[in-house]
Amino acid sequence: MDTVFEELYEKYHQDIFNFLFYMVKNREQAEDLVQEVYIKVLRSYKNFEGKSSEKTWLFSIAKHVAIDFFRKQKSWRTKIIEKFDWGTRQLQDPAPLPEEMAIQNEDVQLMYRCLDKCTMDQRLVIVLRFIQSLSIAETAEALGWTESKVKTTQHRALKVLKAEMEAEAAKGGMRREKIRVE
Amino acid sequence: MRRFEWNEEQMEQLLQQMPYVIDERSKEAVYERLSAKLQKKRIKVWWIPSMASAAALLLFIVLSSSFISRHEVEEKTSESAKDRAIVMEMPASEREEKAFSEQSAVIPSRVVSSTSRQNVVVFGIPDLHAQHIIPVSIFVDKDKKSYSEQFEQAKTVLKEAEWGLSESLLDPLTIVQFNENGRLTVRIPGNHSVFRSGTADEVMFLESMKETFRWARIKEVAFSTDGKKGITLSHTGWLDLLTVDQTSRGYFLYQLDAAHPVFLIPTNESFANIQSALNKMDDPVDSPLRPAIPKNVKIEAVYVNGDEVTVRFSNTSQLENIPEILWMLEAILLTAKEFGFKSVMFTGGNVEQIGPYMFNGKISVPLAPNPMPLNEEG
Repeated sequence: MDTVFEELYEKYHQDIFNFLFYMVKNREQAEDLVQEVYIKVLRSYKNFEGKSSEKTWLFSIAKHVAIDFFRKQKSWRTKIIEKFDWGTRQLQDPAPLPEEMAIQNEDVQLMYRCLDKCTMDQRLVIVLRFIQSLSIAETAEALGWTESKVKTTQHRALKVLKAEMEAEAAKGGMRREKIRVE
Repeated sequence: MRRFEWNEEQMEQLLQQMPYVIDERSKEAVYERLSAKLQKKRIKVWWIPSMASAAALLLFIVLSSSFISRHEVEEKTSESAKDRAIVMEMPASEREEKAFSEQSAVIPSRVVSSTSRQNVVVFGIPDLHAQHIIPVSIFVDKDKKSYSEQFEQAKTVLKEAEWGLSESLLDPLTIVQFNENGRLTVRIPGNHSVFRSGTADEVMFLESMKETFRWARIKEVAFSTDGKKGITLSHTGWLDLLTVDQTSRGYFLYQLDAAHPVFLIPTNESFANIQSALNKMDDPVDSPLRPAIPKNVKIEAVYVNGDEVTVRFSNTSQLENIPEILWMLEAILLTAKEFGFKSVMFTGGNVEQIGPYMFNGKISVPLAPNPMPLNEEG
């Protein structure tokens, strides 16, 4: 087994996987994407200069992989929609809840679903800052942003998320019965 | 009542409650898929170097196999002698004593010496009657760097049935995270036998884990069952974390029967100091346990000096070069380790040396108890 792979796996695999999971909200896709991250990392590992920390460097690669995925998926979706003339509504149905989420309390589940309403940038910040517990500086490094951009995006993200959650909760019932479990 | 509003602090708290979703595939599975992909994409570049390494590997195999086979013959002869010695029933009758003195050089040590050239992973494995947890040390390659790799490698060489033990309850576990501060996360498959068993088995399961991980200086074990945080045991309830206490215990001998090896086994209780632990070690105990300090041996005094401890035997003690005495010294060395001592000096008893242990000089405390299989040495 490749020693670089082994070392990276031991140190970061689950963090990167968890990050990708929250970005795409799908276990299988996260599994595919984490492979992509390794391919990119193993090819460019010798170029890693240690300017940033290994961890933020890996997150920055994972970020590119995730963004790439959404871009591809978007074009794929667009093609399908054009071909079959589906309404966009069907595609916006709530994704099935993963089992890890199904056992959480309602507020956490609600938050998980409302993450979709955030923009890509907002979601990146939320996952890195709060789920991965990266500092502002680390998040800035991983995303290639300034620290002030991290702060304002974080602020906006929380606001959007909160507003969505409150709107959803106010609707009542939160369509709980419709939630499928994977 | 449901809340409909959250303040910023509550939002952050909720975010932190988001479950840590882990990849349930093994490292090997991830690597396998990865290398297939890497090879497909880089096949032209890799062709020549990989041919060269294949040739080198072949050459290496051919050369090393001739070494190994010669080595094996030598080892096998000494192995069988060791096996015979260790499975003999104690206390030794006269006839056996004679046999032992003839082969005193091969009394198998029941500890992994601190000078071992290999790393070990200790597994706490329930004995056949699921009454005691026995720590067993498995040698692993030094080049396996992380504890989780060593743990995986060691799992594959456990031969519980052959050693007279129950099946290890930790086999189905995978270590998914190991941090240097002593926190470990293990993944437990939902079909683990512990989910279908009684209170006693749950206790054995948790105790095996404590015994296993304390040797790796782990302080806390976090669980994940089928991707969910924590573990739900039907009798114990839901557990998020298991605290692994560093204990300070004495040792007994354990032997299932004459056909099975002797193990050094920690006492159930912890003691306030090494003197009281040593005191306990000559108490009569129920079979298959035996006192670690035989009746005809008396410890006269125990002196503590920093991280050194001196154990003086009375001159009337019958200290001979027999397994029971060697294992007693090893039980004392392990007990000293439990209490954080770095070295032990044995004095008195009218002897200079028992097995590899010199009297009146410092002996470093061992790495771990019960190296298995018996023929392996660090």
